[in-house]
Amino acid sequence: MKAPSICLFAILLAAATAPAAELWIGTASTSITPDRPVALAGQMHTRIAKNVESPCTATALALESRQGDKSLDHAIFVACDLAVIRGELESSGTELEKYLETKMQKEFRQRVKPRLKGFDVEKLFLTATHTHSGPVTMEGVYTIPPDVMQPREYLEFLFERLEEIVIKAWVNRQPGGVSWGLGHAVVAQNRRAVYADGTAQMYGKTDRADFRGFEGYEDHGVEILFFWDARTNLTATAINVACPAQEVESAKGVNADYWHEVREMLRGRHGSGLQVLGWIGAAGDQSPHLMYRKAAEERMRQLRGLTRLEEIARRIVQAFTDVFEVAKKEIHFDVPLIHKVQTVDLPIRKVTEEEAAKAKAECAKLLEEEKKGKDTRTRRLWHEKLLQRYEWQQSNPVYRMELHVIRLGDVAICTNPFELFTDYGIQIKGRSKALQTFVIQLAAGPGTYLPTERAVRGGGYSAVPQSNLVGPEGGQVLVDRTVEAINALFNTTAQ
Amino acid sequence: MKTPTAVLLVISLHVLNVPAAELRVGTARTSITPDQPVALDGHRGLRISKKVESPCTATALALESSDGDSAVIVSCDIVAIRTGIQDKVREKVKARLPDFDTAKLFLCATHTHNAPVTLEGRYSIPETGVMKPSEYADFMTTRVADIVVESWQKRRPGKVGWAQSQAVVAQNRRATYADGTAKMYGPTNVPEFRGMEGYEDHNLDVLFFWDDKDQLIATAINVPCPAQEAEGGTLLHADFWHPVREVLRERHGKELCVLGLTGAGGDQTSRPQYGKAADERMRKLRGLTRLQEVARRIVNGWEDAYECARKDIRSDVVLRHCVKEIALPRRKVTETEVEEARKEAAKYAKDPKQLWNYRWHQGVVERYEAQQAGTEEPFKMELHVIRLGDVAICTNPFELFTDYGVQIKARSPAVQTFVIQLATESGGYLPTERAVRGGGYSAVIQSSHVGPDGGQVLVNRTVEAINELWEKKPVTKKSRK
Repeated sequence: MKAPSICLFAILLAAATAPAAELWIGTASTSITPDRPVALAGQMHTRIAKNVESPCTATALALESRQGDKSLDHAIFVACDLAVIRGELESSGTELEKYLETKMQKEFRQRVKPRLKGFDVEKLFLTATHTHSGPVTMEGVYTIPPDVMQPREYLEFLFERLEEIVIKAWVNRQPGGVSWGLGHAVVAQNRRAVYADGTAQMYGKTDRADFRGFEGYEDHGVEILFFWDARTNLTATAINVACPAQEVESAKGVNADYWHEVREMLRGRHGSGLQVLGWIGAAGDQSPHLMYRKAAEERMRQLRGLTRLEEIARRIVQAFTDVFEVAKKEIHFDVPLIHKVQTVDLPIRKVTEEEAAKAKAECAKLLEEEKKGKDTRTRRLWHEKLLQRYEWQQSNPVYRMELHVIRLGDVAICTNPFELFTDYGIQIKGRSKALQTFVIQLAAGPGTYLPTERAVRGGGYSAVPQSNLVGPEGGQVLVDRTVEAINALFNTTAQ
Repeated sequence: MKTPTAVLLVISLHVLNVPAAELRVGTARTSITPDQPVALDGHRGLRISKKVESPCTATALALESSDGDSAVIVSCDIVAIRTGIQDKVREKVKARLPDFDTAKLFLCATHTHNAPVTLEGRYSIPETGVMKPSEYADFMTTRVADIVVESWQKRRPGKVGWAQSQAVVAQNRRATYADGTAKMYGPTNVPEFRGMEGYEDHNLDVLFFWDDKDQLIATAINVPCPAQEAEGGTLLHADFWHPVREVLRERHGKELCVLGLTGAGGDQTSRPQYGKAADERMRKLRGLTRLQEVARRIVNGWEDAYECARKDIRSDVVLRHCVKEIALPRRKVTETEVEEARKEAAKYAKDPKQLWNYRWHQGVVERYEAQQAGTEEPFKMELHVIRLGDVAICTNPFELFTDYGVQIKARSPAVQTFVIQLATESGGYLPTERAVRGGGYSAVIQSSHVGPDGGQVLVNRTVEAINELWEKKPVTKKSRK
């Protein structure tokens, strides 16, 4: 129902006379690259990085809405070039609990709490770009030689660096402006090929006669936030790309993947001080790896004289530039900022007796191989966790996730800890009342793949029970609760 | 496996020893916009044009290789190449071009839903004041025949380049729901929405043609999305291809010929299916119409491709053109489907305004009867497969669901594969198995003569035909310096 003109007039009058809420912005970034050899996260085998191909970094963005001296709400985002937000300094609980709980973020919050005066640390969250060439943060996953930096040592180093930027971003916040826009970049490629027999395979071959297409969608939308200082100089940007940064996942050096090239290109154009937050959108079934048309892509890349990372960055930067030209026409200094944090209980994907039996047999086989010196530990643990879950699920039918939903002007930002299949992100975007909805996966906790119903039917890595703590049923709860939380923030009059 | 340098050297030497086949290129274009009101094709209801918003045009590209093969491709701003249209053009051309094999000519449609009807009997069109479809078809085929002749006669030694880039134009238009159903243009903001049914192909395959003075004379752009952004209403227009042509001509010369080739996009549209408000805001901030916005993305992609293609211009490429008829199994009509179609047809039978709907359902009844009588023939389609250097071009007459196009591209040995749908004739939608399961317009029996079985045959025969062109004379994966 449309509001009668007289009501609208009254609202406008009230808005015009109410003191504007000022937006305060603070940013900082740091290297989170250790100066010692370190194990790399993301593969089923141990890799030790001996050199740095591109630095892994972390960037903090602090936002506060203020009315005079009164703080209305706030948020601190920390985007990290890491595979996942998982690990702990203080060991407690079972192996499975360590794997599932948001200990890394909890520990970090406790660490920074005394220094963040006036800030509710629950409103700080960490996100991972999912580089597969960043340091391991969790003990016990890989067999790491003693002369290599151990995960706990790395975590201590990481926390020190993150603390530094979080405090800096919060303390140095200043009044500023924000704008937003939607662009497009063809980066994500659906990595699940489906075949005539109904099966699906991650990175499956597409030149086979029984190839039938890709299982799902590709989200090529790029949602971008721009932050400006009081003199409308661009100081920071948050770029939401629905594709994990794992183009160079087999590297043997530390590598921030395509975000490094994106940052370099953007800083080349907009100043070396520009802070860039890389946020990964819902993309559990996406990757930057080419699935077909490889010869043409390769030829174009060579004709341009670029590396694959530079080519991906070129597309993202093109989208950024395209949106920047438009977004700079609308800079808002007095937008609403509302940040809600809640826990959501998701039904877990139940492990069946048959699945548990298969995993048990697989564990025994891999253990034998391990005894013969093969690097099969990570694969064995993958199956072993399924067995632990089989026991655990008897008394723990839900997975408790932390959900952040933020309204910033006409934009909604929501988080989830999973490698969330794209369809869920599309559902959230489709049903959200916000003008633009940023969905950030791998945020605020450790998650696994969260596949769709069609993916579970197709099977394959990323959709088998070992890969999923939560299945389609839980995925739907996640979408519904997220949409409810977003729409509750937009039921009030949008600016 | 990487090719060792020594092998590459051998291939290069072999290539150098192959006699160069000179490429000859000719182009021509014309308006196929009528100067009187016409019925507009593409919707269920009758629409009579009241005004020309942008001209509908046809563009011909003639290619000949000095070793004897040829092709003429004509892109038309029309909804489909209805039965008999291509034959009429071939008839009109044949006597005028005795040195050209008219079997190597094909027409393709951009699928604008605001161009004239070319086939009698689809709508109840007023007797007076409106150009009859047969009259328009005669006018249009004469114009097209003229440019075929002109392009062929104007052919001169020329050069070609190819490149691919990206443009986010196609949007999957089939929303799926919790109960397993799918709906074309279905709402995406309801709790039951579960995602888009399939893939979106955002690739842009582009061919560039230069004359012997290195002047860009033509470009063929393969966008896997039908040009039906502004469908509906009573304006006659060429949809997004008009602003694409305008912008490219402004930048690259007013004589530039632009062939709009629609890729496999039976389940695609250029209209956003979610996040519409954000898209709309960006468009308004840019001060563009939706057609201009779609064109902007295509032109951006084109420019991106052009910068690369210019670095690798060829004048001695292979041109092979294979034309064959292939038979596709027809989609079987079930008893449930025919019962429903009978009921629906009966509902519309006596209302002339519902002629389209009547025919849509009655067609199923007739197909079922032929199926039962054993008189049903397979769907015979004309397949064109062209090799031009490292590029393959293949055609089909359908609104081919994207997955089939992706299969062809993935299995093709060519560096780039142009899939052109709605070419040679009009075969209706060709849905995938998952689309048939989901149902809805474009996947129900009324919408498709050929189903997933036939779609697979189409893919397999097309890939085989492409492979044959690559097997016969292995040439130049790379001949630039």
